[in-house]
Amino acid sequence: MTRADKKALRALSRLANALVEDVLATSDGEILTEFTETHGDPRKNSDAMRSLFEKSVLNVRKARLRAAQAGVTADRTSATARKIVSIEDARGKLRRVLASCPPHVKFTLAARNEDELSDADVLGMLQDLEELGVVPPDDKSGGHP
Amino acid sequence: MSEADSGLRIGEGKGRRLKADVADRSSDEIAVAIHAFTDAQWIRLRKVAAKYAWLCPFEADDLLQEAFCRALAGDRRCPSHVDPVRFLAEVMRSIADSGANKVENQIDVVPVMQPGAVAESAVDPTDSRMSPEQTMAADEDAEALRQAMLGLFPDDPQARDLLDGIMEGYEGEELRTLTDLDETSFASKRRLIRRTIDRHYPKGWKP
Repeated sequence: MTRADKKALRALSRLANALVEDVLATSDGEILTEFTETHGDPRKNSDAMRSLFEKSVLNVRKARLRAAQAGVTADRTSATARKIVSIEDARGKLRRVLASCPPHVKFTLAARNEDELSDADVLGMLQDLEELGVVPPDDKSGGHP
Repeated sequence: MSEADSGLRIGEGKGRRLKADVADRSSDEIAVAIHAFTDAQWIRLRKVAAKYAWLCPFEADDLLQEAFCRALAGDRRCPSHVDPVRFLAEVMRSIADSGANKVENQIDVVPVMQPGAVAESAVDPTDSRMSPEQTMAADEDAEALRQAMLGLFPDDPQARDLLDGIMEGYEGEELRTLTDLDETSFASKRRLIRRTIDRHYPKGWKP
């Protein structure tokens, strides 16, 4: 279709709207008779249409599943992204936690000074503290217990 | 229970009831309603799809399937007081219109090809205004449609007037005034027009 068809398309659109109005206004009896005369058994039509509808239902379910799967993937990605922190922040957080956590935990974890720990040790200890429940996993307080 | 306890003020209850009356059907509710369609409703839906397929590059079944998908996915909501067939008809009309506009409004681009120029680096949008030749072609297309349709009713001036009025954009009362038809005669004439067009153009009319 080109721009040159626009005028014809507008006329056709008005015609289609008027004819659709008529289809919607036709009584059940009339439309069944009309269909039987031109196309045959209305039940065959219903079966074919229902089958088309079932295909659509299936397509929508598949689309929902794909969206749900994409959502799970996105959540995983963002969860991974949250784990990426600067090591300075992590060391600061560990210092604050160790300064204020219960003595038995401090005794277990703070055998060495924080500045003697490797980056991996700092992150590992923070993870252990999260697992122990001393630091909430989604701690937004910057490590203040 | 006091008014404060109920959380309602005088007048709010009525408002809420009105709001509930126009609530949308959920996706499940529309699916149940469609499943329960009668033979007559399926026929109407099929006929509507065939009409709106005139306006777009899709086949009637594709148009209908897209309408089902939009209704089921909740992209289009069916108010509970609206007949689901009418609702799906409206969805199809909207899809067909946007499909037609998408094609119609496509901006043709041609690469600017100059010696030594990198072809993909620049495009030259064509003029979106119709040239005199295009205007003439548009008039010819519209006239071809008009003549083809009017030609189906050589001996029925009222049907011709009604058809002409419809294609020119007259509606409802204006159309009845134009054709001097009462409501019943108008409905009968419109039905005759639809059946005649269906008989002569069973696959529809594509511009």
